[in-house]
Amino acid sequence: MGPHHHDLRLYVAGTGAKSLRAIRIITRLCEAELAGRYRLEIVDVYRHPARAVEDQVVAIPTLIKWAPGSVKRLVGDLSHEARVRSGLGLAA
Amino acid sequence: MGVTEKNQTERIAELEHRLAEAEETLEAIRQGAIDAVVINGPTGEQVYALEGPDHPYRVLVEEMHQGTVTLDPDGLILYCNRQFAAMVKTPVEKVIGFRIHLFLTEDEEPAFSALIATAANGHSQGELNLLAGNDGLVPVLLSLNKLEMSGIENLCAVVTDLTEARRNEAIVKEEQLSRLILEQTAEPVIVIDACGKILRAGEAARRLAGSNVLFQDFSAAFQISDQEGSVTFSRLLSGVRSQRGWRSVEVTMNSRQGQAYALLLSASPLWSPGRELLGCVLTLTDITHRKLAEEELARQAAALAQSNSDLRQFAYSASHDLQEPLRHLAIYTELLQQKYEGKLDLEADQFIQRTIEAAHRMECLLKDLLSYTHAADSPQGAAASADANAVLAKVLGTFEQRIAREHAIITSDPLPALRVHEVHLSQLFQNLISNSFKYHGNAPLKLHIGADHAEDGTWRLSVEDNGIGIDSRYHQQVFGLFKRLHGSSRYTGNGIGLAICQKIVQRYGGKIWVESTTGEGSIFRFTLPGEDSPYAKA
Repeated sequence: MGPHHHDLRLYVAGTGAKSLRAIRIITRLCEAELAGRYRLEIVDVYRHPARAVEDQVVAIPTLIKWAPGSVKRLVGDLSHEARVRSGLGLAA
Repeated sequence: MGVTEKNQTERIAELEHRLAEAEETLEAIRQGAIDAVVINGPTGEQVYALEGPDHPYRVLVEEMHQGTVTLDPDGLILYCNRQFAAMVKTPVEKVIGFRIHLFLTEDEEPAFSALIATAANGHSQGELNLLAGNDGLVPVLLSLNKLEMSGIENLCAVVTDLTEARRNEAIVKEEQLSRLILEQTAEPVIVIDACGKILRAGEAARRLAGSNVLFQDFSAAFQISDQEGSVTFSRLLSGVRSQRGWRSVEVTMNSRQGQAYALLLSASPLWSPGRELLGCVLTLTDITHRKLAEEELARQAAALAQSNSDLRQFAYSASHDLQEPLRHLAIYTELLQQKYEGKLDLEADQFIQRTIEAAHRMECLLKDLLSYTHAADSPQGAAASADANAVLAKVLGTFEQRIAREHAIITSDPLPALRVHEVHLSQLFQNLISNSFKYHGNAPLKLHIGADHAEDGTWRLSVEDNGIGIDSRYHQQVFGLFKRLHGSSRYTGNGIGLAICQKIVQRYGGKIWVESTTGEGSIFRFTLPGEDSPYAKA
């Protein structure tokens, strides 16, 4: 992982509709804009509930951007494109 | 600005940041943009779903025996259960968020695309192979259903592992196959259990036995004996257990109808996985006809050998017994000549001279007849391999002086090894080359000995010269006994050389013939078995 690579973690809840949508959007976005320069970890809160608490995640889905730059959290299905882009530090 | 003031500004910034995040979260919850909330309850972390009581369904999906995946229309795996991950031998984290095409081989992609396309109408189902782990493939049944979720038409697939089913199918097919083979084979095939009871008998076996022998005792149904006596079931078993086994053993059988058969018996053991003898499989090949034919052939060969022997005897004694009176004839006529030459009239002298010549000629003829009779006879038996190059060299050695004197040019191809007695090959070359020298024209003799391979492993040799040639009318005759085309004045010899050559070549199953035109030389060709020829016979 390079210094400018995006380190992302997406918390989902099984087959919840918003979760599936979030998966779809973020994988698409990363493939399109950050190909080869990102790591995306998808954590199912039904399988690993303790991790959610560790990361202080309350609402699912939540996307956490650990790097680059300061830590940023986005809650919801990520359907608001402008917000997601800004949150990830990508051009609008 | 002081240190404490700086701290305060930083603290305020941090608080504002955290506040913003908390407000965002609350806003998201208020907007209904989430699925669930994680709460640290009294018994640990709890996940509270906001969309109704899906707990039993989730358990079902997670625990069910089949695999399931939720796909978006492009094949992105949005969700998979544990079973699916196990089926494709990949951890869940490496499945969710990846495309299902990762688990499809190139040739399966068209089938999969077809399934997705059909699922657009609601449902589709098909069999595929998925890549499992590093190198494996797992055969699966994919059942796809359209699933509309918040405006996107996802697909829900139930994936059933067909490995077990396929294995059972294979076993059933094999069983069918072996039954068909057993029934249809022209050879009698019998399956016997460990107690000697016939479990299976093909049609040919039933015909041989003369009745339906299923479930009968083997020894009762088939009365078989070999050199050592009756082939009982216990002998069969001990043979089958031993290293030796029963492999195409010649046996005889008397059928219920009283017919006698000659058979080849082969038997193989059937072992259980625990090395227990379950029974054996027997084949009986009917060689009755073959044996009869063999016996007939042997009989004919013996008769022929006897006949040949008789002929030889006859020819030998005839020529032998004729020699003595002939000798007397020659002696007394010579004595006559000695005593009365010039004392009688001229005619008388001529008559006596002609008689002497005739007697001498007859002696030669008899000698030649004797040698013809014996030609190709000894050595008896099969020949070892003879190197034709060496034999030719030796024969040419005997013509050395003549070759030098007449400036003859001799060439040859590399010659093969032949399965012919050296003495016979030597005689062949001797006679043919001698003829070439005898019948060469005015030009110095040019002689070429060649060899080429025929299709069936025999060799075709040739002796080619530039001599006086032979008119096509006589191409057959020259091989006859005592046939001479030219008067005794110009060329010597009794004309038996080629007849002997023919006898020799025929002994080895070959042929000899000549290609020639008057004045244009001759090529004598003959075929003989090579070292490895299957036709080499004594």
